[in-house]
Amino acid sequence: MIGTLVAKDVKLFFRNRFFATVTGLALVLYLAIYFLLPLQTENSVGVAIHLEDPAASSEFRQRVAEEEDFTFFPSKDEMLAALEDTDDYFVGMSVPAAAAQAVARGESTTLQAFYAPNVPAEAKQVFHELLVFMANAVNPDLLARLAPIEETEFVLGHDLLGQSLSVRDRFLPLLLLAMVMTEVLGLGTLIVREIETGTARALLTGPLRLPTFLAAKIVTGLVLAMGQAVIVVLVTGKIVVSPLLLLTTMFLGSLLIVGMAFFIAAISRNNTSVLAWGTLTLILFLIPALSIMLPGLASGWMELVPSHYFADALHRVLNFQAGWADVARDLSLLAAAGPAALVIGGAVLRRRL
Amino acid sequence: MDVQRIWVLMGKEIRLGLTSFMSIYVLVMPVALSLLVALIFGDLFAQTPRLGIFDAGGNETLVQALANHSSIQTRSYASQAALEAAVARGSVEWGMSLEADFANVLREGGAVARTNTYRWGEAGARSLMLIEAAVARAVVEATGLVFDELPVSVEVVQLGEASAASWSQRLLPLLLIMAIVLSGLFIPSSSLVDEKQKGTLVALTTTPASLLDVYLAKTAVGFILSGLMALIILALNNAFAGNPGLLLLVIALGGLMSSILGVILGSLSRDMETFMGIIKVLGLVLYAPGILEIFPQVPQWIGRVFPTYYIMNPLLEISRNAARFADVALDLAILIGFIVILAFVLAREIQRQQQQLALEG
Repeated sequence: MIGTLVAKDVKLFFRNRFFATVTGLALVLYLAIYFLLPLQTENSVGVAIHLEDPAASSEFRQRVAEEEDFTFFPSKDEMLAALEDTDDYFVGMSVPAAAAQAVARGESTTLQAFYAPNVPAEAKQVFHELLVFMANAVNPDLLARLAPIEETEFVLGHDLLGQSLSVRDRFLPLLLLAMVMTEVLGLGTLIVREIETGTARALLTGPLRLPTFLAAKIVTGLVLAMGQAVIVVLVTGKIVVSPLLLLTTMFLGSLLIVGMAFFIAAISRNNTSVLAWGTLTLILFLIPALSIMLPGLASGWMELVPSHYFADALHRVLNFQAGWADVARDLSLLAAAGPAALVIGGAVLRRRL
Repeated sequence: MDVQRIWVLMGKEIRLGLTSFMSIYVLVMPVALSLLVALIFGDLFAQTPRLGIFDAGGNETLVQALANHSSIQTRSYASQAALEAAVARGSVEWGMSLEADFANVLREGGAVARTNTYRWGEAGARSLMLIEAAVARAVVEATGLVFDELPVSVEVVQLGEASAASWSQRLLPLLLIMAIVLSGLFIPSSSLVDEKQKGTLVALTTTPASLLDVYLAKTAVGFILSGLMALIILALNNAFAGNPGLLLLVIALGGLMSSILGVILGSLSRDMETFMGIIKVLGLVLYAPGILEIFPQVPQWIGRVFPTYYIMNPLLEISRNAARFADVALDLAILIGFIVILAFVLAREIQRQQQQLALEG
């Protein structure tokens, strides 16, 4: 009976041209955005260096080489061309042999550097400070005076050793969460329409019992929510990263979303209300995933939003190849929140049926 | 015209109108597009490096120097645990826990000043290096040395033209026009068409509320919403450089022009299909200045042909180039001219509708 109801619901969902079109278009649009986002990471600090005579500037070269992300150019012209014609560098410095030797001896001298046309105005000060500090630190005596502190560094979170994630990789958890969340609107509308038209009541006056009806709606929600998310991980090729763990995370996350859809359907009078409440929930639930893209937004209160654990687990599995043990906390919280949302949503919905 | 009645009608308009799909669409669309543009063209990710500091006491000057640094974003935390939590979730990319009197040890010299630092594992090399450079300067100055008087100085020459417009800057005009025109024009017009289709407009005019009251309430709602949307888009794009009073004046005039046009179109359209048909034709004309702004090679005078240019251009001049009233006076005069013409057309339209209602009654 559940199978028949699910088939009817899915058919009904795609009969609503608006949601069916929006679903299809959103899938294509989201994937297009994913592939439009840059894949390359910002590993270089964007500093170009040219030493006129590397052999005669060994101290300078050694000091600069310690900053392993600086790029050396064999000639000043090539360095200037790279600054002007590519977006890879923000600042470049050309060091004549005599100046390099004076710097090594700790003598007063002035070096010349160049800002690339694309350097943001607010970043100029810090690039200038970087070059001044580096040049003064070539002389060991000056270095001792300039850096009189002893640091003990602790690394928190997954250590990528300065190799930041690409924007595209950071976007994927948000994309998957958005795909699943959209179903709050789809499933909510489906349920509200059945209540409005009296179909739900008519069905329940027959042999169909309420738990079976709700179970069918849960399966429909899971099919709709997970179906699109699975298409996304297939098209992006990310399915190969721990497929079972990924599917389990998406399943538990989808349960949570289906529970929310039940709740929204129960408190909504009509489809417009579903849209209004659904959009609000969508925005709130997407914030934790947005903070993966823009970590500066991250804040402690986001851990109170259940979707945080869904987004976090997706982020760890997709981007850091996390294993079951790494995401155990996220999954157990989702495993608790999902059924809880279903029970509460189901109970509220039961009062309307 | 009754102000109290208009106020009541505005409340109804906001209560009922804002839950319609069209309203959600026109309010969410410019914001969503704005975020999308920033995401795709990278401006949201060109964020300044983020440093977190916990000061156990006595390091105020050092912390202040870092807080005032224009190239990095510095946040202070009340405890070491709060700092560690912020680094762990990536709120800040590098954290520095300063022991009490750390700066004094630096200033007095002799002893080594110790500090615990925390690096967010996902932080990029560029951010970390730039934060370290800013911290290095603050530390050097805390020792009593003057950073700008160190033996080796660096003179930096700007290559080419600095700060060329980014893609998101080029797309900002289009987003602004969308924000003002979509909410200012679509909300009153779709609401008016909807009322005509449901017959509630005629019903309303049988109450003490006049047609003028109804039209003015719809114009006011469109005007308020378009102003709000324009402010949101400017805030999202960090484009609040100029005179705020002048900026608000232009937004208000733009919102007024759009909402009057919206009410006229809503009044002229028999149903939603007719309205959408008009919009299909008119849409390109309204958005044209914004679209033309994307392509710098197109002669700029072409944009001046379109009415919305006189909303877009002063907004950009004020927000980007801190233009004064005199700089945008001509644009504003032309914009006011358009508003007067549209207000005249609206007055005639209301008169025509009233006559029609009287005949039907």
